[in-house]
Amino acid sequence: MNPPSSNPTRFNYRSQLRLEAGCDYSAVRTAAQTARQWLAEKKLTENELAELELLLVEVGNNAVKHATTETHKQNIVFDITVGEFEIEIQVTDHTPGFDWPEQIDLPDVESEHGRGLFLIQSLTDHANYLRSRRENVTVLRRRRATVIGQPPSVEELKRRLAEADSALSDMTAELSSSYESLVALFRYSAELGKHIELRDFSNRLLRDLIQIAEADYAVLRLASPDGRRLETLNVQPDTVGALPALNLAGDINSVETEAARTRQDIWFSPEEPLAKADPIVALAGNGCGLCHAFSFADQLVGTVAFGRFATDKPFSAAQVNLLHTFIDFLAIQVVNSRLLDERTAARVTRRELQIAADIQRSLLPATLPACPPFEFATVCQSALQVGGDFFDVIQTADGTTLLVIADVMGKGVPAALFAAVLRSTIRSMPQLFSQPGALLEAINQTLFDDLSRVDMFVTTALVYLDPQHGRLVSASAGHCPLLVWQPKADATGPAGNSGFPLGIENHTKYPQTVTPLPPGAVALLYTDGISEARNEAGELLGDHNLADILSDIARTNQRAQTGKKLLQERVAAFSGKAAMADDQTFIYIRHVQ
Amino acid sequence: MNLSLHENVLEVHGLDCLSATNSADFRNRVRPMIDAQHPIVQVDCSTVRFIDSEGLGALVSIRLLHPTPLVRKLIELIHFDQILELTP
Repeated sequence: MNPPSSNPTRFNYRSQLRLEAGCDYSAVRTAAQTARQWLAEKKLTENELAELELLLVEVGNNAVKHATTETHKQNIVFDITVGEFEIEIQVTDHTPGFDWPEQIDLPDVESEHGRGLFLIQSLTDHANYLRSRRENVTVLRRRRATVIGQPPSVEELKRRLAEADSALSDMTAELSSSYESLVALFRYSAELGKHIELRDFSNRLLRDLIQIAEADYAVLRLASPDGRRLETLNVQPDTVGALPALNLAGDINSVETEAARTRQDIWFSPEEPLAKADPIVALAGNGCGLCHAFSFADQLVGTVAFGRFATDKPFSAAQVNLLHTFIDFLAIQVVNSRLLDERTAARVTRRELQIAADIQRSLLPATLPACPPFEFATVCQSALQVGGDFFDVIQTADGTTLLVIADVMGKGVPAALFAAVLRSTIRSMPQLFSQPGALLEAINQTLFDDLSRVDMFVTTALVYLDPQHGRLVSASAGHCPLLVWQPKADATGPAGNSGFPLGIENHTKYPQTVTPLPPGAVALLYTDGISEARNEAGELLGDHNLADILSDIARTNQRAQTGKKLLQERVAAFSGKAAMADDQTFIYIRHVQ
Repeated sequence: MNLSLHENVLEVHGLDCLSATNSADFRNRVRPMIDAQHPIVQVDCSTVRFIDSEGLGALVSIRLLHPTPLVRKLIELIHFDQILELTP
């Protein structure tokens, strides 16, 4: 047992005592008793004295418990400061230390150990544990009890005033010595939440930290978005060299991957040297330092390693605490910066969708030409911002009219672009409008290479209106059938057969069907968003039901506009509150009586 | 620390402190005495001037006599009053 040595030091504004004790229970107890005698002179209450003595013993005993080897059994240093309103205890030990839990709970009531930290927490107003490799500092503060008694004399008040005055100037002196750290802290807190360039920010932060913590180099890495790699963001000073990324699942034994995996500070020194293959050895040799992994909301954000070339100067507890504080700023900035990038990407996507929607809108005919005795009405409703449906009504100078309906596989910008290409291609072949089968064949050959290169296809149906003969000439490339209601039969049925969608087979033929459309008859071109509309129970509308609905409406002999509206209402009534899953597009064609 | 037996009660007197320095000694001497003939242990706490978390741990399943205010406060703080009988 080492006898405790007492070197009471008096400051102007506060009383301070330093005691050293050997690293064993008896020495700790003796030191606590000595401290109690000294504290008794400071007009503390009996209760305060007893509890402070207990606090000193508990903190000291913690150090004794964690001194695992002889080398760790260096003296424990107790610094006690008694101020006017507060008492501070700092206990410095040189043991491996322990993890101070975030929440301190009592153990099971039958347990014989594990109550020390709970007592410390319960008997103090503030408890902090600063841990570094060879030095741990426990800092405890508690307010002094208020003693009600005689009011102080004028001399006593004068003395206290002088003490307070002196305290202020001492504190100013202390603040000046921490000026550098404080200025940096304020500067970085002012930057939090602002849009910053991460590399610049980390450059400045690492340079400042190297200076403040007296380090020789720093390596900052960020976890890749999939969490599998540590990518190098910054090495300071940059003259030290560059480092390749580290694979977290890889077999390279490095302090950085270990810190990232365990989320704990990993220290290195000549006694616990870096692995030979550790990238830091190649960078800075075998000095001493530590690697700290930092997280946000339980997600690993990155690691930062600080080191010194010298082998005998590990970072102190205060320096490590400072590094942690600053790296917390960095973690917030990294997360902010990533969120900002995601927001920007989302904005770009929104803008792209807006462009696609604009393209799609521009493809639809602004006005519908007249083609007596036929009349038609159209609907094009997108389920999402941009769909793959489109229709066109093209009339040439000689009055020839072609109806086009198409569904491009996929959605968004690519679908909109292909719809635009399809539209232009059809419009460039007016000579084939009266032969929709041949027209589809020509379109397929023109677009086949482009479509197959991006693995896309388009279903489309073309209907040539032949007013002279009161009939429709149609062809389909994998599209929903043209439905026709014939007044004489009072029945709706599909007209014609279909070929492959565009983009599936290069040299494909498309059968062409001629369907008479006598006065009062109605035809419907639609996309599968109509026939595959679902109700709240998830059931499909189906081609059969759609044909029945068309019969119901056509039978009432309404104008095309009214017929269109009724059909929309019937489909909406079927869907009920079920969300529209696909685009709904149709062209309602009627031979006016 | 003195131990004495009165019928089926083991009494512990003269404890100056119960802490990390002597909790092992306390356990080693008191525990073996607790048996079917002496199921009750009473610790006279009137002389205990200091107790720490290790000392508190050694008190599991023991009756305390005359605890000083500090001892009582700490016993209650760590909820030991649920398993220990405090006799004023």
